[in-house]
Amino acid sequence: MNSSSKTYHDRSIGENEAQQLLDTYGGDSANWPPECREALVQAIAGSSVLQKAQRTASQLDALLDEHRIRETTRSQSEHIAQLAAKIMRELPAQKPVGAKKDPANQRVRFTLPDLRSWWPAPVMAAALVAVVVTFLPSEQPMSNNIELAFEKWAWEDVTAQSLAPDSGTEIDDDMDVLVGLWQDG
Amino acid sequence: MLDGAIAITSSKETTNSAPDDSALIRRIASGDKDAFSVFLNRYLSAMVAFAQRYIGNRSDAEDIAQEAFTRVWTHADSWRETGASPRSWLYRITHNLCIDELRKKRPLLEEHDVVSDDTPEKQLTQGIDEQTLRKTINELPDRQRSAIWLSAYHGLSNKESSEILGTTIEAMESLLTRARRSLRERLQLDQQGNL
Repeated sequence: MNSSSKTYHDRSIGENEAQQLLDTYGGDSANWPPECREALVQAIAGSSVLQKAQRTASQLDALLDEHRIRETTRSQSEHIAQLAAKIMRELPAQKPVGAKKDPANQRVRFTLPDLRSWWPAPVMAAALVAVVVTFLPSEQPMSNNIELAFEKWAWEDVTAQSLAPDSGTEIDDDMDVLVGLWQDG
Repeated sequence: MLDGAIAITSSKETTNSAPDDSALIRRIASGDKDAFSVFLNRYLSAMVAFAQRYIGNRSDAEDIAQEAFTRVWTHADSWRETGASPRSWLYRITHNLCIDELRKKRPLLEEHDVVSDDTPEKQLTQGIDEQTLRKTINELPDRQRSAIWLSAYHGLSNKESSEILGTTIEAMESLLTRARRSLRERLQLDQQGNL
């Protein structure tokens, strides 16, 4: 098994760290990383707690190993040969040889993606922009005349005359003009 | 610990006459069915066993293994020499297919638990029956369970396992530590005394 790059040559291992190593690599010293093996052996030799921990780790190793072997034995049925034959029979066609890339050139393909396959994206984006520009409704819900009349009604007439008595008539007249312009379109 | 691991021989462990996995993948990428057959026979058992541990159902596991090998056949040209080994790549494809399948089946599996079919339960030497062990492993969080299977059951190195799970070696070791600690505690091996 591989291990991380910790080094143990220049220091001893405490009980917690030793327990952690036993949990990671199991109780068999053959599976311990070479860089910590000697320190771990020494730590276990000097601690009854770690000796028990090693035995427990070995128990778990044995349990998993026994279960694995039984399952592996069961999976080695002749059915596997039939499945292999079925897979071979049902293999789909690979891509045409011309479309395939040499695996040795994969790095080139990774760094230089095939831009030719991207051409639909900008074309579609340009078409979408053209459609939007052409058919999007104008942002002028009212004609200029209506806007001017509205401003007149809202600011000139009302602000100037709203405090005057009987000013409602002129306002109503302006509203009639406004509605008329609106209906004229 | 790893003796008896059938059909999971790494490319380095193959005999001199057998082509290594990288050479096989290059030949598969060029449409060589013989090379694919060698690769298939080398790893099919392991992939079915690996998928069955995830899915708990032999038939579905075989379907997943077939799909994984079919993808190797159709996508061999996307394997990169500088990346993971072909074996790790195959395990990763199978692992991802299992995850997809589990996501589809998760509610069903939670109702009925993951139980391997057609296997009589037997007592293991530690006084723990197979069903208890399997159930305890299945109760681990997904990634811890994967770490145990890849390491203890499939004999993969921590580097290969980390490639399959898409993590670092340090994170893989941490997963293993927590998984084994949980198993030790849940199976109460600490209380069982000595061997």
